[in-house]
Amino acid sequence: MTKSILLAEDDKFLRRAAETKLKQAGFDVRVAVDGDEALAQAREQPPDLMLLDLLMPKRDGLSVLKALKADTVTAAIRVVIISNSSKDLEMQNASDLGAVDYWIKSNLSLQELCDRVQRLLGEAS
Amino acid sequence: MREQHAADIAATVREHDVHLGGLIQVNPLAVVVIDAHDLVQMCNPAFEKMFGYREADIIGQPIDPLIVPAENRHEAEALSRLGFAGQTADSVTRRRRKDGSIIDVELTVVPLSHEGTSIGAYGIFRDLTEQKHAERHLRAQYAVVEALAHSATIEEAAPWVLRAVAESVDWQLGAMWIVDRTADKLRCLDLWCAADVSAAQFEQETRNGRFARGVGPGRTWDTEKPAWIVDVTKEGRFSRREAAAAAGLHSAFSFPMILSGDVIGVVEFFTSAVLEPDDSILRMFAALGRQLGAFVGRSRTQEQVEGFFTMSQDLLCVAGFDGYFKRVNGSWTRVLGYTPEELLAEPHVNLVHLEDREATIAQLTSLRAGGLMNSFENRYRCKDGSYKWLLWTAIAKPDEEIIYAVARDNTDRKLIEQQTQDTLRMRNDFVSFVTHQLRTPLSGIKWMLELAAEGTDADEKTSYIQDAHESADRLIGLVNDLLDASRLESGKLRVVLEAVNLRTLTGDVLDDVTTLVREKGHTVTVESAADLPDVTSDPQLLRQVVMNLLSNAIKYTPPGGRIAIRMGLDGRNLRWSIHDSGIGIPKASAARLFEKFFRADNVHTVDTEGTGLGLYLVRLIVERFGGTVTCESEEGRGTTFAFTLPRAGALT
Repeated sequence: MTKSILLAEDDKFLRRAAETKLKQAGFDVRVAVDGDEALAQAREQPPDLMLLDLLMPKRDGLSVLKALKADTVTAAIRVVIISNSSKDLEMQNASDLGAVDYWIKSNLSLQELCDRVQRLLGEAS
Repeated sequence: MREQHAADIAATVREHDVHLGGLIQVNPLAVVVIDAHDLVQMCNPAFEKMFGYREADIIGQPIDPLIVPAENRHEAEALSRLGFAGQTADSVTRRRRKDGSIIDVELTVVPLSHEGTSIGAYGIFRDLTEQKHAERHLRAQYAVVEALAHSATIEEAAPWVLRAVAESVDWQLGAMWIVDRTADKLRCLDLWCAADVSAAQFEQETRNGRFARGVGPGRTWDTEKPAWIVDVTKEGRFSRREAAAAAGLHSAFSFPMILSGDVIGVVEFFTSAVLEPDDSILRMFAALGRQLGAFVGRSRTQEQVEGFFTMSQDLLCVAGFDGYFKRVNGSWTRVLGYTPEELLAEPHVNLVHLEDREATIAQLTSLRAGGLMNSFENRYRCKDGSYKWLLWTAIAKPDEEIIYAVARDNTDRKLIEQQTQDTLRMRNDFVSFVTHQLRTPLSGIKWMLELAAEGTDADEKTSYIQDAHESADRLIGLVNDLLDASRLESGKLRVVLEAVNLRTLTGDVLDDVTTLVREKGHTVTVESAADLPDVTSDPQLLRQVVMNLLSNAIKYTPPGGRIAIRMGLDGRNLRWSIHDSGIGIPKASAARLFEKFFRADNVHTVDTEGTGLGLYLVRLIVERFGGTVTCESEEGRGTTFAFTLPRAGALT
């Protein structure tokens, strides 16, 4: 069965690149351009994995994560933070709030991103 | 007849004495026998010794002129009369020795009768000098101790000490000299003079006198020993000789005040009598000199400690275990603004910041138990309501239930620490922010190129590469903005000043954004006075100002919006404004709009790509050229940005 991914990323280039790559890899990819949209989509149709940017319009990623974990419908969604910020505090907060991992986008190639997603979803199934 | 009578009396007495085993001759008490006419008939060896007369020289002479001081004459005559009347009489009085010196005596007059007839009297003298000296010594000591106890300094004590000593020895004038180390001279500290002596000239010469070592009172300084001058008016070396004579002063003695073996001053006394040296007085005052010296030593030490207490920039205090200050120095008032009275009036812990109170009380408790308070910091409330950080060192004396404490005003250092932390945090924030801002376009370039490399479709590839280009442009723009901001902040940006025509410059910028404007369907209008004067500025930087404001207007105005640019004179300045019908700026964001990295709350509804540097740079540049930038906006309705610049020639 095709795994679904919700990609919450406000930068249009990164969003387009990641979406393209993950779709090529065969995932069912939906995108959100800001925090509110990300939360709404996650609630509407909980994905198998959520790739969540931190610095986003309207509602930042940590706030989205918190809301997800507080809601029984979405609490089980596995969330990986994808950010270009490497502040220790943000990493710690993300981990405390229940993110399964924290990836720094500029340090990953699209292929590596894709491989990691596959590994995560493979383990789960 | 009288001779015969006298011989009879002496013979009678001697005869009696023989019977009594020579009691009169060997008696340690001085005994004189006088006849009914007050003439000396005989005296014993003790009398000769006490008064300095030989018996042979005074036989037959009236007794009173020999041994009675003028002021005691009536008393002496009255005693004799009692004796002649057959009564025994007793008196503690004073008599004069042959050398003129006065001695204190206890005199008993015993009637001398022969066969029932009074023929004269015995005078029996006991020398009270030693006893009197001891008493005087005690009195003087007591008076001096009293004077010192009530004085903090020798200056304060001097008049009382001089008076006490002079009165106890019955001398009329005393002066105290202190060694002035700088001048290496003795300087008069104070002078006391009995009310019945008129010594104006002598007092003036003494008070104004400055004596080197070995001169005048300086002789005592030099010898470090008490000295006695029998008659200063006859002493060639005594410089105040004439003044002393005018005041009727004759004998003098002086003694050094000694501290740790050093003479630190000299005390001298004068009397109207002419007196031979009196060892007992000299001995007594040698001791007093050491006592005064020790007092000066203590008061100087005290003065030094007081000096430190007063001078200290730190806050010094003595507090009781009852929780109240007992004493505070001036720094408390300087730092906290309270008067000492206010500080002493309430428990000191009341002045401690609420958050620091618990820790302070814990520190005080351990201090009372004999601990030491070191490097403890708390905040004290100032009179104006602000707080100061105090850094404490304190020690307690549990026996006396007293705490000695020193506090340093550490507020400035705390502030610097705070600022350093703020600066560090800001720098960290800055680095984090910039890192994030740089990584994002870099990731875009990297991922787009990766897709392009893997792609098969030519159009797709071109599109990926186009996106990579755009990301790269954004990166370059960001780096340039950061660099400009940094240079403008540090004042290191090189500017090229020239006359710039804003109308022309605005037209050029508009040409560059024609495509963008057309894409969004905006209408842009430009109004300008025909004879708009030039401004003096750097054309490149000014272009950036116009570009940033214009591109903001384009970006934050929904498609089909209206943008109006106006230029005109505003007094001595030129005013440039741009009005749009865009999303506007929330009130909460308006105040911080021109801060570095600040982005209004609602910009994310449009994009998240801005760096928060555009308006910051606008402000830096406009201010650099002596202008101001303002913003008026209503959220949802539109925004007007305006800047003014001095017209060319106005800026020198």
